[in-house]
Amino acid sequence: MRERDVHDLIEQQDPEHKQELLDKIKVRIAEENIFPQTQQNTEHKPVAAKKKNKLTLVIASVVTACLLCLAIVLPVTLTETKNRYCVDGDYVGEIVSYNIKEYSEKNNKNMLYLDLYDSVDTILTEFYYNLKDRNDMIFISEEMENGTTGELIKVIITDNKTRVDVLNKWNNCEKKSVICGVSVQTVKTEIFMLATFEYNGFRYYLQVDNAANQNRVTEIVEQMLAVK
Amino acid sequence: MTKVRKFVLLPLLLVFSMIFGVATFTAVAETDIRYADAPFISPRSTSEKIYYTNRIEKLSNETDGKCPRYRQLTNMTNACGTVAGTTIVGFYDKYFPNLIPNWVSYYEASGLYRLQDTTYVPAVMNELYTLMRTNVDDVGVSENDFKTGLQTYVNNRGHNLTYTSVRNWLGKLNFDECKAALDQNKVIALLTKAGEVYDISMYDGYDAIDPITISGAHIMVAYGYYQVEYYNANGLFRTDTYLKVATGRSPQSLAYYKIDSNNLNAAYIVNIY
Repeated sequence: MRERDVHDLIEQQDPEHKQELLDKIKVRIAEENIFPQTQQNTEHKPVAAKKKNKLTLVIASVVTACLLCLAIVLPVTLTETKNRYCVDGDYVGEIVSYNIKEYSEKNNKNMLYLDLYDSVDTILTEFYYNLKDRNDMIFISEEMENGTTGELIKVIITDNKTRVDVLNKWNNCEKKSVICGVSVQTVKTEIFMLATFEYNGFRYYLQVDNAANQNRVTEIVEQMLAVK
Repeated sequence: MTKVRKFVLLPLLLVFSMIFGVATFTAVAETDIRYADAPFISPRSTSEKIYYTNRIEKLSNETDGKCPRYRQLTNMTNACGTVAGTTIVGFYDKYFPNLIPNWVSYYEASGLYRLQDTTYVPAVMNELYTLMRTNVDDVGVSENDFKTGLQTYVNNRGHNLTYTSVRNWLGKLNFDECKAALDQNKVIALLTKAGEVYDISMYDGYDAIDPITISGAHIMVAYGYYQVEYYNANGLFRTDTYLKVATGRSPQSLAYYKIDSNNLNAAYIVNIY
């Protein structure tokens, strides 16, 4: 209705004023068209911006949460799985009155041990610990001597994340075999026999000097694994 | 004095003074050396492997029953002198049982020396630790404290002790004298600067030599010797000569010491009778 009234009003004008009026109206329309356009932009931008802001917030929250989780979890897991290499000076050893079996039972370690405690003449057990933490075992060593035959058996145990410099000699154990389902590496020299294997979170190093027979170190491994 | 004599005598006097001065300085400097806790460092990399087509052990001998393998007590620091002294006492206890009262230091069936116990050997160590004045003037012991302390312990047990040097004026070990002493069942005290001992593993076709660095002055006891020649297609390519030593440390209680090591401060045949 309003549009019709405006149209009639224009038509009623004389030609000169009619053109002038039309020009004014065009200008006015152009001005009025700007506002509807800007108003439309204003109305669309808040919606898009809001959606974008929301998405950003969600993403930021997720990332932050992930980072927080990593910051908490990573140090713990890395600490638990970190290997270490210890040298003389990192640790100190002391002769102890208990044997490996007693140590394992008292500390719920579930270590394997060589049960010759009633068969040999001398047993010497040494506990090597971190200089900074007496409760942090680096390795435990047990020597068993047969005074009649001169056979000397040495059993050394570390956890499977610890490497110790004095045990590098066992890197020469190149012969692989499977004993009682456990992978064992051995080597025989003219003077002694060596064996090493890993079981239940611990690494075992054996040395036999003046062995009673050629298969002695294998027999000892079998005997130790038999108590598992 | 004629000019000719002056030209001859004065330089001779100068040279003599220099040698005497150096020798005196060296002797004084060596007595100041302290023997204390020295970390044993084993390399992480694999051993040196000596491959051969033929291998001959030219010389090899040990004292009867080898040698005690004592190690330091936990309550002691800088006690390598103490442990070496106790090792020597334990060695001769086989022949003079009152050196370690109430304890037999070896297995009668095999003649091999026992590992230490928790009562009698520690008692010897504690006494020697005091007699050697360990950690009194400075860390560890001096050469003089080591020798005097051990001699006092032996004398207190009614026996005598002599030290015979087997180190020449150039600072080198006299191997022939060492060999003769070891053949006569006498042990040798080695007082060394920082240096290396070796762990030798003999395999089929090669020997693996693992060096162990002793990072400070240390005292060990030699109980044997070992000389090996290595041959390949070109003939003899290497000869190594060692003394077998009780290191006083655990778990590397026995090792090999190369006789041409340039780290010897002193070496003495220790005779107890």
